[in-house]
Amino acid sequence: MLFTLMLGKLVIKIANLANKDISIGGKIASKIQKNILKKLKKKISGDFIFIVGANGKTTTSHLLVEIFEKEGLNIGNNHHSRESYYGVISGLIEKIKIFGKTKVDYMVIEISDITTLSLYAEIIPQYLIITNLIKEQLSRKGEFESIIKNLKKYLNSMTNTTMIFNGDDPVVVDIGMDLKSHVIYYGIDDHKDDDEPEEKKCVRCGSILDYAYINYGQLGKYKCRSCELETPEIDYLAKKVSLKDGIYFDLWTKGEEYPFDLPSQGYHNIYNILAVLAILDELDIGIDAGEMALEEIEIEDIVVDTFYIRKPIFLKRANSISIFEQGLETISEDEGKIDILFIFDDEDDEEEITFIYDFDWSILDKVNIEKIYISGDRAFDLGFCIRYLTKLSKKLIVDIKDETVLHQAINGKGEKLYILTKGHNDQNFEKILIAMEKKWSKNKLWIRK
Amino acid sequence: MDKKIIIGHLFKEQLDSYGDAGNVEVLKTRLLERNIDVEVREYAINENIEFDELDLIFIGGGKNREKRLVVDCLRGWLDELNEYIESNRPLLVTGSSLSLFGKNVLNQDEEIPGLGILDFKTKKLETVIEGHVVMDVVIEDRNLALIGYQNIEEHYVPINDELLKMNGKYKEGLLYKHLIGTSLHGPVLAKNKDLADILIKWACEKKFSDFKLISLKDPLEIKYRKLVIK
Repeated sequence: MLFTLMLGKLVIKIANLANKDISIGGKIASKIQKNILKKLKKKISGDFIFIVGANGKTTTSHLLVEIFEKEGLNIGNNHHSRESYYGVISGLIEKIKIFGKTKVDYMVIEISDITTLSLYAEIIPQYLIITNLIKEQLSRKGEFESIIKNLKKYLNSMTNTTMIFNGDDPVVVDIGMDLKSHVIYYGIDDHKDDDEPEEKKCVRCGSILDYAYINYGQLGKYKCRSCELETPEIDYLAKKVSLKDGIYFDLWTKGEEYPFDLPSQGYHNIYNILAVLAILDELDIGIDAGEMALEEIEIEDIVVDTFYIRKPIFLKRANSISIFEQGLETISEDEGKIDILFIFDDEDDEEEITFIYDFDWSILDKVNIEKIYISGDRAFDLGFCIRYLTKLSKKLIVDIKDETVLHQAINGKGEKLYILTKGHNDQNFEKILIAMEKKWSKNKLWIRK
Repeated sequence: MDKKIIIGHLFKEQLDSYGDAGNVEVLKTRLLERNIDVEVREYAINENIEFDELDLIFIGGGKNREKRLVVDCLRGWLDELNEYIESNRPLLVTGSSLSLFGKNVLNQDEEIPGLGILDFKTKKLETVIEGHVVMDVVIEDRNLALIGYQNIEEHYVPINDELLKMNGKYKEGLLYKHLIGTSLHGPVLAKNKDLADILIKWACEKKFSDFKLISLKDPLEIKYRKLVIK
């Protein structure tokens, strides 16, 4: 084990220096050491917090670590890795000392795929957060009902774990209802006078799930017509939500009210903030400490860089599919004449991207679009999808050569250019844009002289 | 528009694992671009399916539990479905839902009887085949290269050779009359306009006496095929 740890640490160091994914350290260590997770667990003491879910786990995990660090706590995490299983092992190797036992206050572990949770059976977390779950996404990994059944069975083996669940998500609550352990719910009461009731299919019994209102996606206030699935009593409830120049809400918990005025953006981030506040309160760190820390942290809705080359250019980099979809929505709110450039690249293990057909592309039909340029490894997949799911087929320009398309898009007739990227090459793209902007502004100055 | 085609989208709720519903959008767009009006009727399990009014049927791919529900429901429509197929009206099945039409449907731990409309058996493949493929098929004496994505655990063993024409390497597709079953999953027609147009042609020729298929400009697909099929 001594050798494995030393080698693992060395590989992680090299990977870090080379700016590569550190999960390689975990991978090598697990190849040479059997039951590595069990052995690593023996060498570390402290509470484990697992964060899983479809969206928001990275933000939640980063927020939590940042607040813990502000509180001066000794923290470990798996933030430096993209790969989940080997990434967790790398995160532990990074933290654990070669000699003796390592003591941490909290080890915050983000697990990318909830269906792989049982791989970590050697570690029973003290806290487990489920941010939200998307049925369609889970269905792609197997039969939805059996995935949920297995998940419930596995989670029921964690009898001493405190579960912190999104109560606005019926898929998550259906799981929570069948657990023996202590479940704490967070949610948003965003009832408005003009709410229109909606219906969805009940994930628990297949009957009709009536929604009094939907916040977004499947998140909202719901009650099934046939079974007992309904929005549970929410332990950490955000009320009077406003997103004007930041995030405002009143948090209600245990009969007390806490007003929040935060510099962050994005409705979905309220859920992430609530998950963090719930766990801080449960850990007795307190909501006030959370509030003070959150006032100094700015969570961006989506990474946006602005450039000016002949016209304003907005580069939005989406690090997940849901952020990409939100990016689409933001673009669709522009009332001017615009060009759009989508760069859609492959991610690891993501050969199959038919989920793009689940997006609501029709929102683009209402926008004054001059041209839609598409590039990246999966340019044609996206191109065909837009060709058939919008009325914009005559405005499509698709090419797998990024730079050629970028030049075309910058020279397009739109008053603004939105660039929405997903995948590996977005950093590279930013560099190209910086260089182009420099060159353009130099030429421009010279002409003015 | 004086012509109208009615597309029946069966069991979208259960059988839409990989954006399969995109196929209906492709058919709809390509019909509208030819100035043919389209009505899409979606049918849920246990709803009354007006087979005699439908000109084209689409059934997407799904998981085991869903397929079981669907096969049980379709058993109640066996005569109507048989008549629909025998009268040469087009039906497209994607993903593993083709097995519904054969002798057996493989479920996780059990095997249940299929509808038995087509003479083939479904067998488990030893290893799962996953990835992008280009598959050569023959439909109406035309050679087509179908491009798509496969994630298959089973293949089909036809008892009747007539069914062999849609086969790829692993016997994973079938053609019978105007029923096309392909193991390619998701929005198959988006990358395969010729397959979409064959279905449209069959539907329109059956319904309209004076029909001639107009070709559409497809710059995107032409560019894509040049890249993929070298």
